[in-house]
Amino acid sequence: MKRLLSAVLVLFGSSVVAFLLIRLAPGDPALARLGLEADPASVAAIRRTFALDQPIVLQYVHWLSHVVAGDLGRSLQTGRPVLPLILGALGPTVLLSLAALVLSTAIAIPAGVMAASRHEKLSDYLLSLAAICALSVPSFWLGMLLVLAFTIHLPVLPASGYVSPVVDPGGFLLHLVLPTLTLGIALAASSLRITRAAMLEILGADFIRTARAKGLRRRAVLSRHALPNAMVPIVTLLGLQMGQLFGGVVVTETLFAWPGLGKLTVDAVFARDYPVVQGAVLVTATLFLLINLSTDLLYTRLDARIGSIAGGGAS
Amino acid sequence: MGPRARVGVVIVAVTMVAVLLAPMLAPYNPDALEFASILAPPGASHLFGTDDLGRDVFSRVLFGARASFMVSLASVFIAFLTGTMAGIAAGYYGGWIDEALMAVANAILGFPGILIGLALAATAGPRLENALIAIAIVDIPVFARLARSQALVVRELGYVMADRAVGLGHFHILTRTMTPNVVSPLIVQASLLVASAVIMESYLSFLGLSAQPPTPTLGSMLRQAMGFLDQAPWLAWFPGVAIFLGVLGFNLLGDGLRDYLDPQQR
Amino acid sequence: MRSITRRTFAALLATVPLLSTRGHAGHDDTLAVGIASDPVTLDPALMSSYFEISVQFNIHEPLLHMTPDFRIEPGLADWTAPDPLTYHLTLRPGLTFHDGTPVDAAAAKFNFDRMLDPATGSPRRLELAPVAAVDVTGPLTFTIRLSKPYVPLLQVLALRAGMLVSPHAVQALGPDFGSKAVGAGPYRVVRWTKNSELVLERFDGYWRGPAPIGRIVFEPVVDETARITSLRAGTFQLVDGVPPQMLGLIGRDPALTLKQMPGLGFNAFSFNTTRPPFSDVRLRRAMIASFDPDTALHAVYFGTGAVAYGAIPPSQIWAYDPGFKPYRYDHVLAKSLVRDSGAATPVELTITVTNTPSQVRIAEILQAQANLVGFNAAIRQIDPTSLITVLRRRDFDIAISPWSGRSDPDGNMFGWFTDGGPFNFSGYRNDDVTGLLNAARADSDQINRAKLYRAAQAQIATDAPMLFVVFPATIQASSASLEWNQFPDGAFQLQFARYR
Repeated sequence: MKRLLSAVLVLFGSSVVAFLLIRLAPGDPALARLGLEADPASVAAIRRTFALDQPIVLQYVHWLSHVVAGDLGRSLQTGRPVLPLILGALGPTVLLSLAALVLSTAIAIPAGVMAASRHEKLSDYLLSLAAICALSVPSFWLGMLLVLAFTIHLPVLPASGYVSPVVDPGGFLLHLVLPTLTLGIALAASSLRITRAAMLEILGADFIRTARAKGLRRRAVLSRHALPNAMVPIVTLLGLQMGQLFGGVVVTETLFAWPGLGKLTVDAVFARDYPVVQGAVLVTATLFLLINLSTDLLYTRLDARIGSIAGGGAS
Repeated sequence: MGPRARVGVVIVAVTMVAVLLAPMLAPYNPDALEFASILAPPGASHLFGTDDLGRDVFSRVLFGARASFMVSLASVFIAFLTGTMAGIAAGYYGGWIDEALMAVANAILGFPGILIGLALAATAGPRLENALIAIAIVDIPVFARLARSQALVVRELGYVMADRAVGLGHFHILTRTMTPNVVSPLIVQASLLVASAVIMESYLSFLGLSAQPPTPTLGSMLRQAMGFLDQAPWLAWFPGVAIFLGVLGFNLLGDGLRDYLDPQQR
Repeated sequence: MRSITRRTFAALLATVPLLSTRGHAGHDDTLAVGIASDPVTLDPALMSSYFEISVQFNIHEPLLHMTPDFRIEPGLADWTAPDPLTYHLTLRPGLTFHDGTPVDAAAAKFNFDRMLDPATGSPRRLELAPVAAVDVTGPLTFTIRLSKPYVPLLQVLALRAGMLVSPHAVQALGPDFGSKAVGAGPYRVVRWTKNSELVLERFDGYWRGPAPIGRIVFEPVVDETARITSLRAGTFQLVDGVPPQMLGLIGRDPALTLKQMPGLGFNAFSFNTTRPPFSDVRLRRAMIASFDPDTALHAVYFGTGAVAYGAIPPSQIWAYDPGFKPYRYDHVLAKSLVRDSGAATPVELTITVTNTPSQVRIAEILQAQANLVGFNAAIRQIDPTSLITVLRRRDFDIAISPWSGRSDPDGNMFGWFTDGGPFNFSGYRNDDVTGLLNAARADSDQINRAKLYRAAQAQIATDAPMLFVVFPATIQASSASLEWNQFPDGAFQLQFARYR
């Protein structure tokens, strides 16, 4: 209950800040819609239709009362209803984010554990070096190089665009490859490093030493004692990454013409499309809270295990 | 100090020297247009070639690195200090302090960073300094949340329990016991964020929300290069490699620092 | 995890052969078009951006048709003009909109009334300003009455203002009309997924008869490199907005066709003549003399297009004067003008420009050259939405003000240089020029009009309210197997396209 209350407060706060920030930015949404050819009568008509001539507090109350009723309004630019617009963009973003996360986790966790368990051995060095290099490559640069490599020099993949997985699953996967690699490689590198760091930390802890001293096999120590303990920072990072992905895929979405939420939001910010910006911030913030909630729930479960394992190990 | 850390120190030192001495090292004025030599490939007179306005890419990389790394380091530093303090406090105290701080962090994280950049540029003018602040604001919750989760673990570990049992004060525990044990993964994160700050600055500068032309940053140079990938790939190679090397140096250094700060690992 | 990856990989491999056929010219009935940006709206009454130009003519049919060389032909309607204030239009019989409702005089009147109603918020009000009334005179005939002579009307009716939409659909769809659009053009809208694809299907009731290609898919790809890459890879068969630096690359590829022709618009800067420093004409002329437009043409446009000295582009053949070169790139002159102005040097100023790479490049050239003659210019980059506000509020010293252009010189001159004109961001006021442009608008004799425009251009060059840079060319590319017509405004009219 308390959680819910604080969640609602966060949403309320974000929506107020978004409402104010977008209005702080210079540029008139009525002019943005009408373009250079705007005449004063039309500008006034649009301001009236969208209640932009009202005091800002009234505008907010008006917006909020509709949101509570499940109505996010209509885009100032296109006249489209905001909710379907956002939901339509959410699908591609979630799919791309999940693909990148799955790819990075599939690479990073085994590799991170391996690097930590072979601390200061050749494979650790090579993995760490690869991770550090992958991490140091700017992602849109990587994306561009991937495009050149796989669409021009070796034309096996589409350079850009999105195909709905429902309409054409094969085409969808093909279009997914390059953006997923662009996003996933850097993610994998950072997950690998965090996994390795967390594992090393835990491997150095007393209870692991005890477990080792008790003669437990290395693999058992790693998987039953070390990894669960290292999961807390790893899960935090995954939660953060998931969140960052939603907000931060703009560059990748632009590069690959991927019709996601990031691109929708940035376009709306630049067109001063107030209702779309407000709706997008609200939806993004809600998603964040949901991800956080699941991360926290995972903590609680991991914590319980930490308690028992650490206690058991030390006894 | 391990060999990787040493390599990191060398790279960072070279980067810093190059960046600080850019005005002396640059063979040309980085903003001087030379229409007679537009898009000249790398060669004897222009080591890294010239760009679409005939400017010397080597000189621009030096000055661009200067702007990019200064902004990135400063913003990550601000975010690191603010975020870590908030995160440790949240994790250690729990309760309403935790709730409040994490609510703020989540509110920022759930917010499109570009909106922060745009609003700052709108109210305070599009400048490098404002890009710096926007990046710091976006990065603070990253440190805060990581520090909190680390603090949650450390709080329950034996030595903190012991301190508490002995009756040491909150302040002492926070500064002497918690912080050193929480900080090491954060340093890794900080080194990562220097890299992403360079990228974010480049994105802001592409949108015109950061340094104004002709002042180069590595990111704006990369964006400029995108339109010439086929005709003049060197425009993309050199700033890209400069970001790569600089960031690599910071990452290696971060690892070295981590090993140094975390005595258990030695 | 490992098994999932392996399965995904297997699925990927299995689908690779699909790629070579997808969207390739082998699909003779589908044309995939890469465009620079998603359209904002498909409602011609509300279109206000350049980005709808590539799609608009495929969904909507104007009353009159303009050929690539600006001849006006009958479209949905034929016309007669008994006097300069009266235009009789007769619609073709038996035509319907995509929803089956009839294209008749009542529908035409509904469209005009809608565009002229301020509550609609239609940018068309401006170009239809001289229209006093639209009267229905029969089931298929109607009359447009003007309040004063307006020669460009016929051209206006061949563009967005002449595109008829279904009144029934406008009423039934309400605010959703902009995303569903029911017109009378060669293709009807199947679906439009924001930022992803706009799918059109052949409309069998089109007045010219069904179009050769059955299905058109527009996909917005903002990044120009990615757009061209997709053309080269065969994902697109036609692309808009080819960057000049890629001409060589595309020209060398035998599988591609490159088309370019003079465009309609200009790229220029407006001086703010209402405040210092550019309230002083000497400083405006100094700035112009400091700037070498040939350099910009070569460095930014790679030699495509033409240097601009005024607002009338070479494509408007009857009005364009190739000998009109009132300025010279001359730093000695520029320095002496700055000295004569008596202003304290260096003269501080800000160049306001949008964050588009090519515009920034032009600003950088202008900055570097102006700073050599006694100015100290800073650059301020803003987004295009802010630019409109900044221009309207005259919150600038010198600001980029590009214009997509119109087929008639009136569209490039009247709004820009008449006193109080909607695009007169300079705050320029010269009663002679206003008089000349009003006279040119009312004169039906082309030779007279050309003289009037030349006189106006000469006076404008002396007063220097704007710094003209170039007339950009319209550059587009396609796969070599596609036959299609290029139009100076960059519009795609794909009812005329077919695969070889």
